[in-house]
Amino acid sequence: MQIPYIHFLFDGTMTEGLGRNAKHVYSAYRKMVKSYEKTNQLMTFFRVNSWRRFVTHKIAERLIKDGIRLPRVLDAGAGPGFMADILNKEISSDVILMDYSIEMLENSVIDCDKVQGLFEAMPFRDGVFDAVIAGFAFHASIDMNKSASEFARVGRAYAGVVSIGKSSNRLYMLLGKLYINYMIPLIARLSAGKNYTEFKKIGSIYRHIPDNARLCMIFRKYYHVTIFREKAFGTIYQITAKKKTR
Amino acid sequence: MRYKLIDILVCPECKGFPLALHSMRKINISDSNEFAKKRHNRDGFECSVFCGLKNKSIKRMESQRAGAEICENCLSINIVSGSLSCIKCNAKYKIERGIPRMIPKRFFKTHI
Repeated sequence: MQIPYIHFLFDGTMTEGLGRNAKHVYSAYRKMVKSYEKTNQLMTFFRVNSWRRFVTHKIAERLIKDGIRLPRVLDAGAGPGFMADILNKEISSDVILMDYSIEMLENSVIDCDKVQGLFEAMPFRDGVFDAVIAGFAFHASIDMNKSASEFARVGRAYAGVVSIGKSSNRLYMLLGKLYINYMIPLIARLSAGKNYTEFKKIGSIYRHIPDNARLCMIFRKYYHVTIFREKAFGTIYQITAKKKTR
Repeated sequence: MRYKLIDILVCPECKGFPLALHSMRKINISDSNEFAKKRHNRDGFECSVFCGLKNKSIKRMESQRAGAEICENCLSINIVSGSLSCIKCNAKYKIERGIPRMIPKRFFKTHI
């Protein structure tokens, strides 16, 4: 097994996640608002929406099965709310978007309430959401353990995550590293113009995230993981999970 | 943001609830508001613990039998600017351009 990618938080505790590197990554996300989705589409060869749809479809299915009318859903790390938008097409829901980037929230694609917040300190009461979803955001968390525990705290039942991951297979890990460090900046040059350098910082995310097996273990502390799938040589993972009852 | 958020928002630092709202500017949003349409057939209160509009707990309001009408009106109000403060730890959070900024100060210093 890989050695966990450990960082120190401001209070001296160890964590897996971006840690203090979040500062550079977050500033990059703020600058790439306009070219964000276009570049996302290009660098995933237009598969980004199908990956999002898979997770939202599974969550919607479960909410419908449970007979929840107008479920309350949190799109954590929502960006402009693409994940919530896809979910809303499957099931009519009361969505709340949360992101640390005001720029992303102000450019949202759906009309709903928005809150600026962090995964690690979510500003919501315990168990107020029927489901918590996160599309291409969990990789940017400062402290992944804390984030997963906050997901479980604010959520009542389900969680669905699709995010940048890192395969536990060394060959796939190397391929992912090469793609993220060299191909993505090239693709971003086409779609983002001058701002393509900001996409280079995704390489920093890839360096700091733990491998997918470890990520799954983090979720298993709080959830029964029902689906865990790796895509594109493990550079993408999809999780759907049900909260453990205590 | 709409008043209904007050029912679920807590202080990200100490998880204090409810937060005190000091709204500076509100606007009425049209009836075409998607959520108001969805809510139309729902009985009882929209919020489950605390009514931000009336600044009262739902239990108290239920005893007064005030219900759906209040919620209909409430959902058409958008708070554009103001602030939220925690009664427990005195932390203050701004509401700007309709979005409450709920990031604890300690993260701003070191991580953002």
